[in-house]
Amino acid sequence: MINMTNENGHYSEVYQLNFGPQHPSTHGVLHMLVEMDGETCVGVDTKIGYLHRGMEKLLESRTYLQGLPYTDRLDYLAGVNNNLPYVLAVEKLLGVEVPARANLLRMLTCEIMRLASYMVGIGIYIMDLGAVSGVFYPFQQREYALDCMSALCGARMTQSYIRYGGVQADINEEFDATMQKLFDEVPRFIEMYHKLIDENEIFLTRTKGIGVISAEDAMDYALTGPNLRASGVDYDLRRDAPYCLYDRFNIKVPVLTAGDCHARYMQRMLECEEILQLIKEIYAALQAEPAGEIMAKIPKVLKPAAGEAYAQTENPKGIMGCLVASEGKLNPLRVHFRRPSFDNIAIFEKIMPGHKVADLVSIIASFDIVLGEIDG
Amino acid sequence: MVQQKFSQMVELLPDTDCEYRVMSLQALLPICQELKAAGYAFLADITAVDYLNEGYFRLLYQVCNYQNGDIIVLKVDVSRDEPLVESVCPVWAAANWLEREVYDMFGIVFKNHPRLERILMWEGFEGWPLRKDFVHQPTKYQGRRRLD
Amino acid sequence: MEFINNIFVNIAGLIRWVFDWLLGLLGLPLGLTDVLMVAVYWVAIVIVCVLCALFYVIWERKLAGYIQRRPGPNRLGPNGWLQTIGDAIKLVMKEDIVPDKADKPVHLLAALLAFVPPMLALAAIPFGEGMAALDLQLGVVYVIAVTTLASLPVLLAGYASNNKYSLVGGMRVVNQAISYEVPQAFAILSVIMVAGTFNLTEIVHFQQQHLWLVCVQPLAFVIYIISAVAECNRAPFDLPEGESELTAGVFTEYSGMRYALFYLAEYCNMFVAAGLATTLFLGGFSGPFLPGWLWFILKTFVIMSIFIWVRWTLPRVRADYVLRFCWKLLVPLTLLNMLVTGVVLYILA
Repeated sequence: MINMTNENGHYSEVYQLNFGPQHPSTHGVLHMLVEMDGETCVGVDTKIGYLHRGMEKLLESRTYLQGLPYTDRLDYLAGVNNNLPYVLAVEKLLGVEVPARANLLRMLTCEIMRLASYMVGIGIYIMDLGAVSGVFYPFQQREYALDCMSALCGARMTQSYIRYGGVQADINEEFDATMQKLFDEVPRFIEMYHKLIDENEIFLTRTKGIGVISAEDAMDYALTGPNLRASGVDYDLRRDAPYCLYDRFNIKVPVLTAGDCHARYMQRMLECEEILQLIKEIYAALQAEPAGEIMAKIPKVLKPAAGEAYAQTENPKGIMGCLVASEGKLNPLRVHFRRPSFDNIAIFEKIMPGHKVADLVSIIASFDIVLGEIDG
Repeated sequence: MVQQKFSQMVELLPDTDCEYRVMSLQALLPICQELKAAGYAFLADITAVDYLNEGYFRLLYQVCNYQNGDIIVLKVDVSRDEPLVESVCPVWAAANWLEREVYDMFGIVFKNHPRLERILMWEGFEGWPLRKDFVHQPTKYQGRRRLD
Repeated sequence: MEFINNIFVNIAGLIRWVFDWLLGLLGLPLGLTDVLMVAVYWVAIVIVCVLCALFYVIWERKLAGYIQRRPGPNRLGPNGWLQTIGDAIKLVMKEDIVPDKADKPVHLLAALLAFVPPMLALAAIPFGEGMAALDLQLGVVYVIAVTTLASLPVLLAGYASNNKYSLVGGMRVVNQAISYEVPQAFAILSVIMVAGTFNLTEIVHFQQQHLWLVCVQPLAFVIYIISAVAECNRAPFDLPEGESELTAGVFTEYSGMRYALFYLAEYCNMFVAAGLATTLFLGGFSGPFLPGWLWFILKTFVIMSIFIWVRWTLPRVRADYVLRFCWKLLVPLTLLNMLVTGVVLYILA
């Protein structure tokens, strides 16, 4: 074999390719400055901030009530899930006890939106691999989840459903009907999607062994959510550090060990089934719960005690954390969000070199990132 | 555990079971290394709060344990006049971007950070936007520039 | 029946008679008729090209809609069937944007050249009995040679755009075209071994007398279809414009009319590939009851629908797998197919 590499170890002149910020498969405005040797990537510099809206600064200048709807816009695919850590942190400062019924409703909506978010993640992944038809099937099922939310609180995507001290609305008859539809349709979808995608030869070659992350790296880079569990680390906040009333339920967490793009896709597919099961359990518990308050008694004007409170929740993209620092005034002194996608993509610079340009797309999509969340 | 090992340098905050105040900046890195060795492999978050009136930034490190879901919060106060802290990047790779974000927003400098650059704001931005004394200067429209 | 079957031949004959009469009237040499008839054929081919492209663009969008469980375009015209015309008008009216540092003449030339190879190839394909504009003895060789040229304008576009995505896309086109030319030619060769002629019309006649060659050469047919998909740069082999990785690949810097030309040329190329498959494997214009040209249209329609079906079903293959698939699987298979064909023919003879 003749050594065809030049003095730098590359086969051709290395050139820089601007992958994004305007690019169909960067899920928004992610910008990667990729150094390419032919079609092989030899270095990546991830640049973010194109969608930076100064969310944390905005929240500092709003009262607590005004600030809440902003949180929906972080991970806009799962609005309710973003309300939760912020509300939990503020409630810690307020010292409010939330009624059990409200807690169940919080969990129920969070799981519904988690399902919806996974549907998008799965669909977009297949689309980014080139099978455009793959995106339409999950989106149709996601619509059933959004219908549930719409019946419950009147908003489809950015609901701001979770409020300080409770939730906005109790379940109604329309919600029951949409839930029934969800229970009927989603298992059929999951079965069909397994048949459509899993055994596809092209899909396997595009995903198996691509973007492998070892468990050590995953922990070192603080990956969370399905991306972490696909690498073989069994960690799910809902089970390991329960908030709301998750300790009442038996939460099964699938764990895969391969850590490649295929594992991350399969992880989401497997979790979909578990989420659906959990929704059923929570829904049954909610119906068994006697009707009652869904809001705790909280003052009209919120002035939490001075101090710092931190709350973490398991979001569809990973662990969302929220720090609220208060001085006892009308608006918070400081709000900070740990945005899971932000921490997840830091590992790109490590795993991407050595892959072909087509694999970069596969890796980005397999992380299921949302730029609203990365840039905050 | 932290209390026993570093009784001189940390104190458990009242009314909490997992929040520690680190008394000196020098102690931060050794404590972090110790935590990592004790199984706290998950650095969830690094962030800062600007206490303008008191004259310091408070840095908060959220460190978690994968085995039992424990969370430990380290709080360390940094003077506003000389915001300089040891980077924890050698301990957790995840600190890289988190510290960059804190630097970007507060101008707190992390020593021995592999690449301390702005991350969310653009390169030429002046000032530290999340400091309480930051005054927003509306930028003028620069007009269309031709790249040549 | 016979009249409908030969309607286009008769029209051509009528036009030829009119030209003869006019030339005689003006006192010009009658040899000019042939020259004028070339122009007529050329216009006819352009019309066929454009009509095909317009039809198949909307058909693809409709079929994609059915596959994806959505209605597809359904506003303009009866059930949306005029949508392509609307789109074409929009594309023509758009601003023509050329990058600052682009190689401007080549940038324009590439878009114009895109239409040439499919038109040249269509000239040799028999749409019906006596309906080939050029009834060449070496028709197959001619069509293969001309369709290979189809990658050249795309390479030019990739080079001229002065964009890295375009350049990578352009290089992929050549990669792919050169590779898949080989199994395609071999697959066609095994058909020719059976039929014993290079003349496309005679291949159809052979199939009329015996049976469709797809029954004799099923493997060659499948390989031909796969290579044709790759040659036309269609999914799952649409790497040159793989939108999720290369934004729009070679067409990144093309907009408006120039993009429309490439877009239409893609469908013409597909139509040529489908027409050749029909002629070589599916008995061309032969068939009972209906006129020959209608049979030809129906058969190409089926093959085009297969192309579209495949495109909207499969994910995109990675660049290196595309080549591996070609050289490690398709080429050995076609060689084996040729060997078996040769042995069987030798024994039968």
